[in-house]
Amino acid sequence: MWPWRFNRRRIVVRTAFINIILALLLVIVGVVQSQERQPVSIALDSETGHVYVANRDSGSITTVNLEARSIVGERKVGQQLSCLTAVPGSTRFLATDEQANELLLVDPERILTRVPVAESPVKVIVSPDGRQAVVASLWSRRLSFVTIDGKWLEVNKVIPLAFSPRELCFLEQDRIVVVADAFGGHLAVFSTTATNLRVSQRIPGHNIGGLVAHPEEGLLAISHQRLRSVANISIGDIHWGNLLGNHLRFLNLKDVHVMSRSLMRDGWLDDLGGPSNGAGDPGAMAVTPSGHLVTCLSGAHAVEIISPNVADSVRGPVGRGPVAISVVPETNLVVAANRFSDSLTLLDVPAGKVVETISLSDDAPSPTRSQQGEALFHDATLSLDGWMSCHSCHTDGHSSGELADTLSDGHYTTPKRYSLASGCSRNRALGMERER
Amino acid sequence: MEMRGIVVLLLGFLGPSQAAVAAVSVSEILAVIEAIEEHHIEPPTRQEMVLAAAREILRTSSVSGIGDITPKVNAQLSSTISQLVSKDEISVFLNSALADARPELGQQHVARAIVRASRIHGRQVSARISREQDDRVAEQIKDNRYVGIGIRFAQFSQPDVGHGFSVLQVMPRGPAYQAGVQANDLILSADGVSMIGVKQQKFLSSLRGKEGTNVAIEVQQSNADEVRSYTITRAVVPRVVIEGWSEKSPTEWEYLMVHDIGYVRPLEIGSSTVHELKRIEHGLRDFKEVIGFDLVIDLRQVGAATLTHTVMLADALRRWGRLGRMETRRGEVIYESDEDRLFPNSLIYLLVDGSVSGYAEWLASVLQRDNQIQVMGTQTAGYPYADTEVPVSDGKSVTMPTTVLKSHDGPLRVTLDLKPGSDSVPAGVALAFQQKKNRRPHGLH
Repeated sequence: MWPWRFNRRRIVVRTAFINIILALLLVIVGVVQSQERQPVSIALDSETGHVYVANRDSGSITTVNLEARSIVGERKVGQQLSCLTAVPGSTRFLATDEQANELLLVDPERILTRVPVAESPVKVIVSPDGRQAVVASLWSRRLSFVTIDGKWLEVNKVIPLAFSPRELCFLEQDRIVVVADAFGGHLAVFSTTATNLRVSQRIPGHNIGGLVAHPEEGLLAISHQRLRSVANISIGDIHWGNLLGNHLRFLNLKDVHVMSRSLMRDGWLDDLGGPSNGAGDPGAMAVTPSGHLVTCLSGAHAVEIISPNVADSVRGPVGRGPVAISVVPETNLVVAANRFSDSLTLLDVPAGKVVETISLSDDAPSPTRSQQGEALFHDATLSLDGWMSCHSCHTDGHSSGELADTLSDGHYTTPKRYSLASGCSRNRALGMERER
Repeated sequence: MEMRGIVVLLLGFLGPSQAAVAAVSVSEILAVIEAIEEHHIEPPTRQEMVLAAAREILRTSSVSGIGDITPKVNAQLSSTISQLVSKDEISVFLNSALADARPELGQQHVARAIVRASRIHGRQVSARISREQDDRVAEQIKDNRYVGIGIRFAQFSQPDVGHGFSVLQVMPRGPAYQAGVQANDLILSADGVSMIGVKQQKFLSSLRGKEGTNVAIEVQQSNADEVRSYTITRAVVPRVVIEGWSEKSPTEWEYLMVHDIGYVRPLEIGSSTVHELKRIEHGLRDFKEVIGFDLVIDLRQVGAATLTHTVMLADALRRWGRLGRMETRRGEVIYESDEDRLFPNSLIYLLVDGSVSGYAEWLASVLQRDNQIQVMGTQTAGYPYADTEVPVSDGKSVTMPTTVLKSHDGPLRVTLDLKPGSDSVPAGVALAFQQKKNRRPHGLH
């Protein structure tokens, strides 16, 4: 009786089952295809006009045609890239692989060579003549001096440091290199000719996110944060920037060259952002030909543009988590790499306007829960006025070496001061294990 | 139009709590005594405080009536109370003493009497008990980040209209000022609701709101027919905490005086003070195309100050070194300055006189250790104590001296580097010292 009805039900069940399987397959394929890249470093080829982007999570380098505003290609070259920089006078690039502990020499077509360097290389800079490179290795606290000879790399000298380095900057062409602490406020100045330490001092502050020389002004600009242990953990002290400040520090280059002189003797400190307009997590910087100083505010998802007369500054919108920035040669345009939105932003600096946003993924990435957590950890817009992210005090989930009266309840009881997070090892703090 | 005398600060709370004082209980008296024992920098003995409380109870009791206590009764009280040791014994005694207390005798009265028993080096100190201002608006005012439209208002009544509200003052840094609201504007409506005849609480709740939200108001000058409409976005309305030499405009101070000297006068040392000083320094940078110029900081008008922000201000102005010490019952804390300094190339003159005491005096003491800072004026008050508000019970707090302020190498001491009339005083500094102005009403409360 009514057999067609029975058959129809079976058909419906079968169809639904097949649909579910297909949907699951699509989801799996989609996840693979839309894996987050997390661009963390960019290098420009002035001859081709291409931008090369080092992707941290995919270990790949993406080539972008800036003029066409399109992706030319993507090539996996390592496990976890941390830095990419052009070798002047050539079409080659140096890249650091933080996971494989390698320094790579690559060109647009292939990997030319790999050399092992001290554990966890996070930054590499190349001298203007393209012959020498310096690599900062975070957890091993090492500075490696590398000779670039055509297609070959040779590590000449490895110097131990008293702190974990990250940011590097050449001064006086390549005769001096400044090394900055990745967590605290240490600065060290090395002579590259004798590879010896000239100055080692500590600036009041932590989270040094960027170093950039401004030779015309005779200045070295440093972006960093400062946590004041005497401040209260209160809305008022956060709002007015008393608890955690985001700063640009300017050092006079003359002070950097003189041994035993205070680096801060003729320098000064400026605030980035202000009440109701916090500038959480200042990082990489660039100086345009027009003299504008552009600073990535990686927690505020913006860049701060300071005009040459330093009288005013404007906020330029970019993607989520801008961590790297480069000036497009012979223009006043900059390219910013947005780590947590897998994109590049091309910005007209004097106008403070976005020219183009270029996505590095074909479709919207599907970040894993760890990646989502990592993005939230670095998001200052979640805090009051955008002054700070979790990362601001717990640098990369570790300690910045600063103190805060975290249970602030006035000064008439025992101050309850805790070192913020613990651990200075490679172990991921705060349970930030990655899903791969 | 006739104004009724009640003037209320829209921007502020209604002053210290005016609520009816509840009858005091033994536990409330004990809470005050324990707070003083724990936090007062030189507390009286427990028996002295009980005696002070008992005298106050007796003085106002329904048995004896309000008046002086006879020496005989006083002697008996002292003798009885000196026998009390444990907390239980004191409780029993106070319970019996309170049996005849007048209902209006509150914690406020007893606490005041107890605190009167507190003396430092024979010098009577002030103290007060108040209800903690724990609501949102009070907290915003304390932090100098009140959120609103930025007006003070007055209530008026008119025979043919009834009562309403008019603008008494427009805060120069507030959104109402930016929008064009003027003093003496009558506020006709808010978000389409008439404000004529409404109660004050309704009026307040109509204008207050979260930062970034809008309110549409209609206003009218009392002698004009035109009704003006504004949509105003509520924002932070900071009060001025540092004044300059003269007012350039309602929203801007001139910080340069004659002789190319900068002049700033802090009115309070709170959470916004260092930020305000940074802003002033930034604005003066173009002057002479360098950062360096002489600066006068007039400390003679400093009102409220807090430990945290005084230390931060000292750190901001001094380069290097140990700032000074502060001693509480919990121990001594030494504060140090880092290498950053505002006005890095400026010679700074601190103006002081006999009105400078407490935190402002400590500030002068620790700053003059910097070889680029000099103290000019007359001798300071020599009062090295700072008060703190300590919670006691039921949301109330008692304010008492809890901190001894010290220089880095000993007792608080301010030495005059320059005295008025001395030939070595720069002309501009001498002028600034002479031009001590009366403190103007300012801020939000």
